[in-house]
Amino acid sequence: MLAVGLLAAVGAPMAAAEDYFAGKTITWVLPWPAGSGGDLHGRLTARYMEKHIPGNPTIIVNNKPGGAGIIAINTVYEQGETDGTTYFYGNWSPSAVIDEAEGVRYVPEEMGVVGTAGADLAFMVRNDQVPELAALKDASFIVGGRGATNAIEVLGNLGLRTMGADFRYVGGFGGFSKIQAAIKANEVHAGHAGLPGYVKFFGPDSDVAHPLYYHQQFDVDGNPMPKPEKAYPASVPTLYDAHVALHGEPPSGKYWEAYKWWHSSLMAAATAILSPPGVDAEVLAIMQKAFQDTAKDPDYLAEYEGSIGVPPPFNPTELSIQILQTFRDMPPEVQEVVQEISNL
Amino acid sequence: MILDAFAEGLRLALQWPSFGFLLVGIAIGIWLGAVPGLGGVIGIVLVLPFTYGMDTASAFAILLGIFAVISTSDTIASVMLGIPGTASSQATVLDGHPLAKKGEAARAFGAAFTVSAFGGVFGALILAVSLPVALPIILQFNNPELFALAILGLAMVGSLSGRSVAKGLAAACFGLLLSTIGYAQDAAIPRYWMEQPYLLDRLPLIPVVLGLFAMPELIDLAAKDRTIAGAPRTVSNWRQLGQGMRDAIRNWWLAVRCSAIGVYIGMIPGVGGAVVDWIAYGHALQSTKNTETYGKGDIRGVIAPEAANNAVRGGSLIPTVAFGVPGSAMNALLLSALLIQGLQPGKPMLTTELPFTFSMIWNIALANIIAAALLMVLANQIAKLSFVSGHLIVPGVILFVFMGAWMSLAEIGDWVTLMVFGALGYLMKLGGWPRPPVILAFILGSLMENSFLLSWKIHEGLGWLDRPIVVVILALTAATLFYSVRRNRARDRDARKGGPATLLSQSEEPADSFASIVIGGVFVAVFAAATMPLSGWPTLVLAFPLLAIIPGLLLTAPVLVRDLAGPALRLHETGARFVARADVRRGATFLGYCAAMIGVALLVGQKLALVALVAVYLWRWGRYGWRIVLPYALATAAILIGFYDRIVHVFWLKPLFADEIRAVIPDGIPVWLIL
Repeated sequence: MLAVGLLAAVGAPMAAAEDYFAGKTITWVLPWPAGSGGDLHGRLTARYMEKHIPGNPTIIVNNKPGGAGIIAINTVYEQGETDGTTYFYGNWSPSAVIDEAEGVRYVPEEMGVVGTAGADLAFMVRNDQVPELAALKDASFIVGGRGATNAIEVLGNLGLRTMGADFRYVGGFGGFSKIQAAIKANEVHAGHAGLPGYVKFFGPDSDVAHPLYYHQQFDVDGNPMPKPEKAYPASVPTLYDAHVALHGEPPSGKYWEAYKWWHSSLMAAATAILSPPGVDAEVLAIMQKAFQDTAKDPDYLAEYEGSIGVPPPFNPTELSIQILQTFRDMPPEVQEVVQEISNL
Repeated sequence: MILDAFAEGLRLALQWPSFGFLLVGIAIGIWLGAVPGLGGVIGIVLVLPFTYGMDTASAFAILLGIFAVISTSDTIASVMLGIPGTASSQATVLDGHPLAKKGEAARAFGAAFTVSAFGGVFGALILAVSLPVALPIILQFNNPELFALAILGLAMVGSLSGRSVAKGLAAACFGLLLSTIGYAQDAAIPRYWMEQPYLLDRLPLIPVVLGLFAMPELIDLAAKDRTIAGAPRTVSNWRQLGQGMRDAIRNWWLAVRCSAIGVYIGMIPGVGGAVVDWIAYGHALQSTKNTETYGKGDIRGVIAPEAANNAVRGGSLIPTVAFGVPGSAMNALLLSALLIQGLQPGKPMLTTELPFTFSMIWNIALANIIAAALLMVLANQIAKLSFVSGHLIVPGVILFVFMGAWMSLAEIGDWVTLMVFGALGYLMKLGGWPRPPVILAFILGSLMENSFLLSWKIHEGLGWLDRPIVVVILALTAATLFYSVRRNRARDRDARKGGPATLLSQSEEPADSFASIVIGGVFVAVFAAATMPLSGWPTLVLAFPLLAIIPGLLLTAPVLVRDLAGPALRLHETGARFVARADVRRGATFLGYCAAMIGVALLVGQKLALVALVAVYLWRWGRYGWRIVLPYALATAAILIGFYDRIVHVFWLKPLFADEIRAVIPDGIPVWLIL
């Protein structure tokens, strides 16, 4: 059934006229303010997508911040042109959709999926608190975070629970730039970092903090995938390997199960390019192919790495569509654990 | 070692072609700073992609050129229109705008540009000698210290910007409450959002600033049919400019002190840029003699904040390059640029890469000197505008005010916010309620709530209040309040004795008691209404709104009672007199024009509506013929299409009749020319 749905949504590539987008202007609506980190990779991706869409249309970026990101995606969902010239680019906040948060009017399942990308995340801790993995067993520390309900924090804290760490969580830092400042000032001792934040604020030679373990990606079937070469130094183990090294056995139990589900179902497609409902599948297929081509463009990847950091893992179209269609199916036992973690 | 790096930095800054790029950056920065509502962020965002392929020195030259001169050219709007171009030029309005009203705009520019250049250069020098001690100092400023510093900033602005300390502090509480609109920092609970997604995040700053400051001045100009100066020119602009420069030189020691304040406060991330002008203004007031003319067009009230707000730029670079902690959006963009150029923020920037860090500081200093010289030349022409009929100024400025507001979220809520705060600002101005505390508290509110909650959680209570720096800052806050109250009492005593008035005021017009009562009533009603949802919120979500509401009510209620008891006439009589005022009636009509424009925009789009507003205003209010109306309207259309549409790519409103308009646009004419 799902396979049929996927086939329909993916459409027949390149069935639409090659020059469909020639002379057209495509608008990308971003939920971030101009100049933010998200805005930078949105504009960069737009610049390269232009080259890979047949007909080379112009892509203009509109910043529509506000409403915790909800305004931008609501706008595209409700007002976007259905001829394939309006897209949302950004975090689509699946946890806000599941929680039926105030102001959410968009239905992700109804929107067209152009492509998605995940995030390479790691747990950063001060060198003087946990100098090496073995010290995690006896260490007690304060973790500074964005807020316990934030998707990255849920994943990170599920990871810490899986590892059996003794920590006190202090949420409320706006983003990683504030968390890292507090780590450097020794106000807090640790935090959950995305790869750009790690590169930007610490890097491999930091004498303040280091990544203790990496949150590995999972494939469509839930199997852990190996750590990409350039994401964090080679000496940083995945959470799975770190658990084996620390406890002598693979991770298991309710936190690990919730961690796996959360990572593969929600975090794997943190950033998405979505169209309003009703865009022709063939038009969408042109965009999907252009996204995949962009994700493999060596110039794009080089510029991404040079200007922002190691590029995120880009998902195949089928996986992107699957995540957008199934993200609400959270098992009750996972729901219970996430509830507990969100109240830290 | 440091001196060598200092000299090497200068050499790097002066080499070609980076110096040429610095000049380009300066030109862009001057334009962006001078137009209300634009600001430096948009300029750096647009330029940033062009720097990817440049060498490091050239890339930073153009970016720092923009970054440095925004707070030089934003003086133009502060002085001419009473609109703070950016957060750090609010205090300049206090004395700069009264000078323009007295016909001495050129004098204000002369002094402001001189000390801006001086502040930028001297700031660089202070920075050079301070670098060795900068790192440990910055690391001492954690969440508790940031909270205390924000409190000091609010105490300064609350007690210095108006005639009454109580009104100033109440206005600050109102600003703090406004800052709590939207999602709470500690839970996914939206506060005071009135079921409007527009209010889910915090209220955007620019429509609030433009509403509170720009709209009242525009209403005044439109309603009173006068020039900004309000009197014919008696002394030539060139002579005034020279006088302003001499004023700056005569007060060199004040400029030195304020530059130092700028550098050191600038190093503190987040708070620096917003409070520095007030701390400098407060310092000027407390450390100079003959203070009775402050607030009425005292040149020292321009010199102090302008010296500080340029020096602050250099200071703010230090936490950005040394820790990767950007204190503002513009600093965050510069941080991105550093990474794009392959430089890593951190200690190397203060050791091995020190010459490059100094070249950044030199770029800022050079940009300040060049911008000041350029603006000096332009000042003569700009100052002439203060003698031009307000009816020719209003349409041009209203265009930038509405577009500046629109660029916040590109939602109709931006214009509604502008109008609501425009009406509020006009009443506050008439009623003698100071507006700067509202804005400063609104800007600092989220930072204060964040640092308060984090301090509370990290230290598990209020144990952080006895940290040494916190104690010192809170003692300074208490001293500021004590000094201000004592000053005001002395002033009241003098006034009762019939002596010279020693008022600190934003304008010399007497406050309208009815407008004051209305604002007092609005504040009390808002504070009271804000208590209603509190019971359903967790402690950490309601804590900060309560910190604004309780003192807000305690300060506003007595002011309201005193106002109500004060006037000899009864309330309905003062009300009737207020409504009958010709300027108030015309002001209301002007707001009606703006509201009608918004209605038209909803139907046929913003480009047509704004051009129509400009044309109708010139024709109906200014009584101008087509020779003025037509070119003015065409220029408006050209700016909307050429700049906002084609360059900035503004997300326009989709009007109700979009499809019908599209259908009648002939083939070959692009839709973006009309919609």
